[in-house]
Amino acid sequence: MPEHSLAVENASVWFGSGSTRVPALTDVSLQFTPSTLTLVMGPSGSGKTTLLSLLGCLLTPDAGSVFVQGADAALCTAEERSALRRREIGFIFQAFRLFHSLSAIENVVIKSDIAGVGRKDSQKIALDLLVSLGLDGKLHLKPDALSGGEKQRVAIARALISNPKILLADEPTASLDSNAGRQICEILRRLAQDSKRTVVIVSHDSRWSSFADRTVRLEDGRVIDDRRN
Amino acid sequence: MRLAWYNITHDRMRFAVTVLGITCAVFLMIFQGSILLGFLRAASKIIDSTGADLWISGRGVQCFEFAVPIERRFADLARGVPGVSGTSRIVTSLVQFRKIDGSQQQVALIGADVSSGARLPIPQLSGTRLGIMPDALVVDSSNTQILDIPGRLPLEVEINDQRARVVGRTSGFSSFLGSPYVFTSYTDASRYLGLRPDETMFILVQVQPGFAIERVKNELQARLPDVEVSTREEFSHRAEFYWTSQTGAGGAILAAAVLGFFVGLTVVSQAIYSTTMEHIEEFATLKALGATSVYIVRVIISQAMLSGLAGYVLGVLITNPMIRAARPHIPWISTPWWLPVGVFLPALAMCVLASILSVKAAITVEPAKVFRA
Repeated sequence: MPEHSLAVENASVWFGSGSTRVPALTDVSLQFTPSTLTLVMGPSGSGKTTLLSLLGCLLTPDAGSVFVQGADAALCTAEERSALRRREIGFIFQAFRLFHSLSAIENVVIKSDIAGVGRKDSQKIALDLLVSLGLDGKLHLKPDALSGGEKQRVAIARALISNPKILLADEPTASLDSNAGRQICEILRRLAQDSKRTVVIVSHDSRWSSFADRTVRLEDGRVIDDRRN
Repeated sequence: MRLAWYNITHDRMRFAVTVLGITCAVFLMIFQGSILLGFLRAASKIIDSTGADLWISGRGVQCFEFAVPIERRFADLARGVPGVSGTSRIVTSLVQFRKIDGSQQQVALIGADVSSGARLPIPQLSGTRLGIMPDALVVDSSNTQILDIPGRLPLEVEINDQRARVVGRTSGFSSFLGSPYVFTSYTDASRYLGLRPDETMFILVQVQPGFAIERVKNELQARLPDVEVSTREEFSHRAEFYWTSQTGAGGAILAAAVLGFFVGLTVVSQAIYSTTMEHIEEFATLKALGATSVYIVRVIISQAMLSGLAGYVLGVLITNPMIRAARPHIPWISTPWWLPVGVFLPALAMCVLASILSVKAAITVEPAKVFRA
């Protein structure tokens, strides 16, 4: 899969068992290329989050394959998938998922800590990232003292500190006001375009349409539309 | 592990409760351990204070305090065994001590020959005027209040309705039985107890240098089959075992120390588990960010160890004044330096054990949970 940094092939996921077994994704095949911001849309229960979990190696498919930088995640052990997430993937969550007891800069550094990178180096990178995202005056504030937009920018800095080639974002603007949401859209757009990253965003937010290179629509666990904007 | 430190200090009240639980457990373990060690030492104190290599006692005698009469001629027979350089005698029994106000107190009277050992506070051993005083008694300083002994000595009292005189005080011989030890000469003790001239209770044997104690013991035992011959260490251990195991006293003290461990374990388990569950979504986030199980275990164990360390230091700090406060009531309590040091590992083990449930919850949390708002 040399031209694709990320792909799913004939991937299917079911939840539950026996008579309560329901399909969450059915036979989905998608490829994602660098420098592209892909928007995944669809109604609730359409399988968007399941797709994102597959792409982020947080779930393994019941059938089919998931390729991350050429590696078949479905064949990896749990520890190997953890390593893929550490090295290749940056996550941005709707609920930010920051550590409440840590300051903004500590929240960013923790991802390097997980990867075993030296603290001194990672603090310098974290500082540069937070400054570049306009948080230079908020480095030592805890999440409770930050606004929603600021929290999301800290989360973006955390996602970027390991310099991953893939960014996966789940409803990154859902908890933000329109101004903060727009800023996040612009940042992620820039990250796809300027840094040759593969960015996949799951969102209901129609504002994303003007920032996305490609829009994939899901319904009942199937891809019903896949078009370049 | 900054995350561990920040996690536990983020909720200071919970951290304080956790540390308090560990502090109580550490205190209980050291305090009960001190009582147990003191009890063990007190149980064999008289035996260990003699200079004898071997003890001859009635068959089946488990400890010094519950002696039975044996024939005095065994001392003569023992001196005929190769390797025996000398013998001495020691007797003990509970007697009535009449105080100066006329009231009575039960005491454990101990009478020994001068040659029984320099560490035994027998009046004749001083080599001064006390040595030639008849009916002389020595009591432990910790018992002067219960025996109603004023500052000035000598003091006229009665032992089993016979005249006696308290002439001196000693220290380190507080009784664990509730009946104070009172020391006197062998001759006076025999008289107070009404022992027949051909009776004694224990014969202490000195072995000549160059002779193996075990061999002399076996020879004595072969020649004196009607009595029991033990080395001083054997008799000392037998007495410790008797008082701790067979009376149930040691078991009760040990149970309290073990209970301290489990009380601490429960408190710390609850605190660490609730801290973990409160942060369970953060553990899911850590997993989503690529943290290995080892990393997550390190965070939780570090939380437990940090709490354990704080609780241990506080526990040790409060133990010292508490033991000092308890000493007037439990004079034989003993806290050797290695006891608090030795409690360090159980305290940390308690914290690690307390983390097991938390570790299980954190490493099995579903990382995909992070996508749920």
